[in-house]
Amino acid sequence: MKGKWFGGGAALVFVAAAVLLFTGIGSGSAKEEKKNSMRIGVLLYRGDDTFIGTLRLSLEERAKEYEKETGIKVTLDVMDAKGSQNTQNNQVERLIGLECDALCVNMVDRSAASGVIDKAMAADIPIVFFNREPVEEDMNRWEKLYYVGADAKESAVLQGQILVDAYKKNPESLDRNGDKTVRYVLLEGESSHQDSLIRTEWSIQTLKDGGVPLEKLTGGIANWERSQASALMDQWLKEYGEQIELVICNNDDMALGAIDAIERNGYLIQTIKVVGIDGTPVGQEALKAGKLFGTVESDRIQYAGAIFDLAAGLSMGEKTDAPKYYWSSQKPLTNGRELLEN
Amino acid sequence: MSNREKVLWCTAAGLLVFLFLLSSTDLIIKEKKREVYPISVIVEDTNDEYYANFKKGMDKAAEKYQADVNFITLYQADNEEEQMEMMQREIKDGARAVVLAPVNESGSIMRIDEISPNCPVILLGSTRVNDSVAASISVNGYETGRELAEQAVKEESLDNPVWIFTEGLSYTGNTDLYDGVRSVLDEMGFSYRLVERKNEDTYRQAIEETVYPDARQAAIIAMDAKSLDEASDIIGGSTVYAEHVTGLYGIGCNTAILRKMDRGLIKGIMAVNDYDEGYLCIRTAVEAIQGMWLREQMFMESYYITGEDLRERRYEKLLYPME
Repeated sequence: MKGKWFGGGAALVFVAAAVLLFTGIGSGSAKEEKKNSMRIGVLLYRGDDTFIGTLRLSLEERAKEYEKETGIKVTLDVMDAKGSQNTQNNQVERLIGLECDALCVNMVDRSAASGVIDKAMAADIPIVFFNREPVEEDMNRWEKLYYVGADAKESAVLQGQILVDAYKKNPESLDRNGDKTVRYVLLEGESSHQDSLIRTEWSIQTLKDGGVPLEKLTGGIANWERSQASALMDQWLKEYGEQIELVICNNDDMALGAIDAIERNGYLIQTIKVVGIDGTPVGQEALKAGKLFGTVESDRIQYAGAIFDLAAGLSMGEKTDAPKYYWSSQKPLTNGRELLEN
Repeated sequence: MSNREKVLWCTAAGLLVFLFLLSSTDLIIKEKKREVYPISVIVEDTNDEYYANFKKGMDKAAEKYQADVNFITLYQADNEEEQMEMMQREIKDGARAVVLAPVNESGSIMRIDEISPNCPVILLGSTRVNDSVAASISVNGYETGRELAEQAVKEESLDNPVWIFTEGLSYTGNTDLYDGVRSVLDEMGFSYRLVERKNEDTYRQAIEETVYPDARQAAIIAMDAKSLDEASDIIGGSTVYAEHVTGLYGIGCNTAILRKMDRGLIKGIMAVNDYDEGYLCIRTAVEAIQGMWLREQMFMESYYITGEDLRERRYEKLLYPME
C-alpha cells in the first residue's frame, strides 16, 4: 500500500515537473547571449522645466556616444508626465509593457515612488531615479534601485559662498544703501521637493556664518517656475521697492523670473543682485549679460552620464558595484567682471 | 484506502493540475496577442527641437494604432550617409515601417531603391512616391513659398531688397520653396539675394552688411525653421540690427520661434499643423503595414500666422496642441 502511495506521489511529482517545464518556471535565464541593443525608458516630471530639459538633451547625447563607442543600439523612450503622478504611473506601465531594460525616473511626487517600484520589481526592471529623490525606505526596498542627483546642501553652500565672497570684497556690492544690513527676498522651489528646504536653509546659514548681516523682507514658493517667480517679484517690488537689495533663488529659472520683473518695473538690473542655482544655459547667458549675479553649475554632462551609464550597465545585465547614491559635482559661477569692478 | 478513494484523490490532483494550466498558462486557453507594430521615424536633425508637436501627434497615433515608435535623430545634422545607415539598421532590427525625413530627397530615394527595403517607407517633407516609397507627406512647397512672399511684400517697401536665408537648396523641399518665393518677388519687382548657410557666421555676416560698410535696410525671408531661429537670435541680440532689418518672415515654428514672434522679432510665419502631420505619419505607416500599399502623395495645409494671431482660438490648437 505504502509503495503504491509512493508511486502515486512520484506520478504527481512528475506531472508537476512537466508543468514547470511547459510553463518555463525555473528554466533559468535564457538571456545569456550577448545583447546588441537596449531599451531605456526615461520618465520626466515636467519636460518644460529648463534644468530637466537640458538634462534630457545630455542624456540623449550620451546615449548616442555610447552607441558609437560600443555599437550597441540604444532606444531611449522619453516621456513627459507634465506634473501628474497619475500620468507618470501610466507611463511606467506602458514602458514596462514595451519591455524596457531599465527605467530612469524623475518622480513627480517623490513620496509616491513605492507604486513605481512595485511595478518595476514585478517586471524585474531596475530603476535609476534622478533629480527628485525618493524617501530612504523606498530606496532600500530593492537592490536594483539607484539615485543620481546633485547634493542640495553643497549647492546651497556654494551659492551662499558667492555672496559671502562678494560682501567681503566690497560690502556695498550687496548692501547698496550702506546701512550694514542686506535686505533680501527669497524664492523657493516646491515645498515637497527635498532640495527646496535644504537649499534655502544652507544658503542662508552660509551667509550668516560668513558674517553677512541679513534681514529677510519676505519669501514665497514659486515652484521652480520662471512665470510664478516673476509674478511674486512684481508684487514684492510694489510692496518693498528699493528696499530689496538681494534676491536669493532656489534655481535659475526663478532667478530669471525675478530678473524679468525687475526689468519690467524699470529698475536697473545691477542694483538688485539676483542669485540662482543649476547653471542652466539660459542662466549662464544671463550671467554673461550681467543680469544674474551668480549661480551654481551642476555638471550636466557628468550628471546625465552617471544616469545613463548606470542604466546602460544594468540593462546589459552587468554586475555593478556602483553605490546606491551618486552625487554629481558642482561649481560656483559668478559674473567675474562685476566682482572685479567692485 | 479503497479504490474509490484512490480514484477520487487522483481526480482531485488531476483537476488541480488542470486548473493551474488553465489559469496560469496559455497551454489550454490561448490568449489573443495584440499585434504591436514597430515603426522607426528617422529625422534629419540631431535632436527633436523642431519636432515637439510632431512627436505629440505621433505618440497619440502610436497609442491608438498600437505602434511602438522609435524616434531617431542623427549624430550629425543633415548627414545623408548616416541617415541611410540608420534606416538599414532599423530595417535589420525588425522595423515594420520607416518614416523618413530625408536630408536630400533625390539622393535618399536612389538609395532606398538600391536597398529595396522589405517594409513600407513613408517620406516626410517629400512629394515623391515610387515602388519603394509607400507614401509621402509634405506641404506644397511652391505654394507655401508664394504665400509667404505675398504676405511679406505687402509689408515691405520696393526700395529695400529681400534676403532669402536657407540651410541649403539641396535639402529636401527647399528648391520648391525658393521657386515659390522668388516667383512673387520677380512679379512684384523686388530685388533679392539668396544666402545659403555655409557656417555659423553666414547669417550674421549678411545681417551685418545692412550696417557696415553702407547703412541700408533689408527684409529677410528664412526658408526653414533653423534659419529663422538663428536669424531672429542675431537680430534680437542687437538693437542696431533691428533698425536695419525691416521685417523677418519665415517657415516653420517651435516654442522659441513663437516666443520671438510674440516679442515682435518675427513678423510672420508659415506654419503647418505638426501634430496632425505626426499623427498622419504613424497612421499611414500602420495602414501600409496592414497591406494598404498606398503610393500616395499627401499634402498638409500651411497657414500664414502673425504675432497678432498667436492668441486666436483657431490657431491655438495648431500652435500649442494638447497631448
